[in-house]
Amino acid sequence: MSLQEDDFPAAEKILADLDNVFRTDPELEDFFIIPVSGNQNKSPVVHADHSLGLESWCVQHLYCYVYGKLINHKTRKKREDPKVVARLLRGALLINPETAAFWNMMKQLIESERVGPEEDLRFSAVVLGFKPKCSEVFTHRKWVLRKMVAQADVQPMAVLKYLQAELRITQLAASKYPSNYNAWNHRKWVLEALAPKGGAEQKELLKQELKLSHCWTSNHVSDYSGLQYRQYVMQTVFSTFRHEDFLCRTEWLLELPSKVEAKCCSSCAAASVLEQELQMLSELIVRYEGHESLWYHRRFVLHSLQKVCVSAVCAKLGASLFNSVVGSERAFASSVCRESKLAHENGHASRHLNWIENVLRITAA
Amino acid sequence: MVKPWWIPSLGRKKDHGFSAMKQNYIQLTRVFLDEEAMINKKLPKELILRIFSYLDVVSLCRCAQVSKLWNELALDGMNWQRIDLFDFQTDVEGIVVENIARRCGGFLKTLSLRGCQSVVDSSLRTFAQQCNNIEELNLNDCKKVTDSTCQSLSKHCPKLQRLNINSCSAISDQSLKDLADGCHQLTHINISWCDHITESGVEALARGCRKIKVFIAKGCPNITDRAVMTLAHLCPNMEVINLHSCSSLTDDAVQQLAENCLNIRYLCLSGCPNLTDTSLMTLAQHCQALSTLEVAGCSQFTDAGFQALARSCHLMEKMDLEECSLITDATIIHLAMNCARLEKLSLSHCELITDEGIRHLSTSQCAAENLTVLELDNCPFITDASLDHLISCYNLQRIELYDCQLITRAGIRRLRNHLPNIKVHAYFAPVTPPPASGATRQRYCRCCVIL
Repeated sequence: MSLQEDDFPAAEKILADLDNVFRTDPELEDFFIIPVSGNQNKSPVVHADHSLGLESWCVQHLYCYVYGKLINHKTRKKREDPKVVARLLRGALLINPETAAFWNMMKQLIESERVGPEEDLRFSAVVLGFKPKCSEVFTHRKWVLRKMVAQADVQPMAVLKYLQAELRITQLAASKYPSNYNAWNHRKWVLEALAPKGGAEQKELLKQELKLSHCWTSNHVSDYSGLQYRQYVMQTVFSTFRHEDFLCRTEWLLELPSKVEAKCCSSCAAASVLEQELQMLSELIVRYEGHESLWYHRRFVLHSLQKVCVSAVCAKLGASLFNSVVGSERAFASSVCRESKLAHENGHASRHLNWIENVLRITAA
Repeated sequence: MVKPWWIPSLGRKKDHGFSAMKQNYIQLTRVFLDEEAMINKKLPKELILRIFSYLDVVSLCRCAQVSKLWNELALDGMNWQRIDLFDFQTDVEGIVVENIARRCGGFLKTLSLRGCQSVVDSSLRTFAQQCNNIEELNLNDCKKVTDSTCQSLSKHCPKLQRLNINSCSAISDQSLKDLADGCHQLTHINISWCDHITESGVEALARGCRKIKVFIAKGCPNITDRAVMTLAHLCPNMEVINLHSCSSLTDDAVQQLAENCLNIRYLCLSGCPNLTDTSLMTLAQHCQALSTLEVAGCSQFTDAGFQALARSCHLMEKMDLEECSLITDATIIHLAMNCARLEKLSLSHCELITDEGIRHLSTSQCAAENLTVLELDNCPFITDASLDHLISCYNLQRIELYDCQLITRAGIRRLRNHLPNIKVHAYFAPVTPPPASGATRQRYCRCCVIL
């Protein structure tokens, strides 16, 4: 179809309406394309309750118009003013955020200070509301955040604010799309790039993340990416926390009995945490049958426990403790095998048994 | 017998082999290397220069790469009197401006650096020093330009007549004071969106540049009544005044403007919400030459003011009455009766307008010949009946009907049947034409596979 400008004169008006909504509502969160059958002589832009809607009749025409103009600008056939380009880009990216070329044009505008980085972050958060698993959006946010943090006069309070905003947004994105790898990966990047390095604040943050991922796992048992994130957090905790950081038990929210006294030393504390993790997993596996993700997380926990026991200096940890853990594992897996009614849950349990025999024991020896 | 050389030899077998080709090649190169080559022989340098004077920047640069002769002629200062670098925008940096300045020297009369955001003061200083005859300079959107540039212009460019420093947000009153000192020939000045400019700058400018005819100052909220009054007193020849969004202005300023500048033909007071009918009445009293009036957002204006205006300003051609929400059909009736030259009328958001007003408009003197643009968007009482009235406006080119909920597709179709060239702007989606049957393969852009 032809991409001529005068085919759709309402395009400019619709783009102006969209821009207006962004300008007047700084707390805008969501964007939807509203499926409508007919169209009346009314603006297709709907704004209610911090949500932006665009009626579906205009989407195709609007996108063709915007695409044509942007490509002409990019290939220098017909240059536009930067403000116009920014408006066109926002329209194009709302409808089709997977176009890397347009995000790059937006980056150019931010570089030349035609568009403010904060304004752009607000915009891409709305786009995420529409397509929560779009990797281009996350990459673009990374670029903008890196740029903002690298500025010479950046305040630590501001960085903290960005951090909190990113954590909130990634959680929202993860809740809108099952097993949202891009969102969890971005969260991991945020922890590495924006978190305060070392000191009490980092430890506070890690404790908070651990608690959050525990709640998340209980509510989203099959979120593989969420579990992977929890694994990352646990690994970071074990590598950075010292003995005294583990002392206060309420942090872990797991008031479960464990074979090892956490107060002894940091390795013991780590082992204690892992044991409690196993118990939590057992509970979840029994309650929600048939989720492979929980079994795989069990494998991670066992591996970590093995590593801790092998490399620990403390007398209480050692082969005997580990063997007793493995014994109870076998018992649990066999019981699930016997009692579960689902065929594939049996499969999971028996594969777990196999894994213990063939993989774990071998690496232990 | 020796055969004379001019008689061609007959019957000799031509050797079409390699040596013949080589001979042709030698002959060709001789023609091109020779100064006697065809185009240079037939066209004297003056004519080539004249032809080059019509070319744009890109073509001139390409011609300059053809040969030494063309290089000299294409880069001759006479072809570079008017330069517009908008299409190059961010590629234009300081060094480009300086090279142009050196190359063109005193020949350069018009230069547009609109949108060239990388241009800085030092390059413009070089430029001002080299190009003393500059008459028109456009620095729209050159955000890095500061007062130092205007100081350079004031020192070196006394012939400057038109200056556009729209959106150069670093400019302050000092620039205007310097311009007032050095550039007395200034007739056109555009200082829109330079929000540091206050009344003292404008007053200084008015005192130094008495010949100002065009004064454009959109979005300068610090321009007060006093500034406008001084400007009006000192520059009575003003014809074009744009004070869009100078929101602190009141009726007093407009009164002084009307009383002193009798030649005003274009006046924009959009976004000045403190103005009342008094302004319109003083304009009616003094400025009969008014042909364009933009008062969008002046929501206190009523029918009474426009009645007075219409009765005296018969030359009115373009009016923008967007958001003057108190006006009713009465205003339209007065405009229809008195302003025969009306071409462009905007009544956006004038919520009290009905079909009756449009009916009067369509039977007025301006309708058949002159009316080309009519904006009725967000007027909720307009129905298809208005469109039926407008079929008699043969020159109507564009009509805006956004958010007029009572308009239907059928009404628009009827209008289009009578006025085939009209552009109707409404929120109705365009009907995609059926695919062309036969030869042309349908082409889809990759992005259209959405939803």
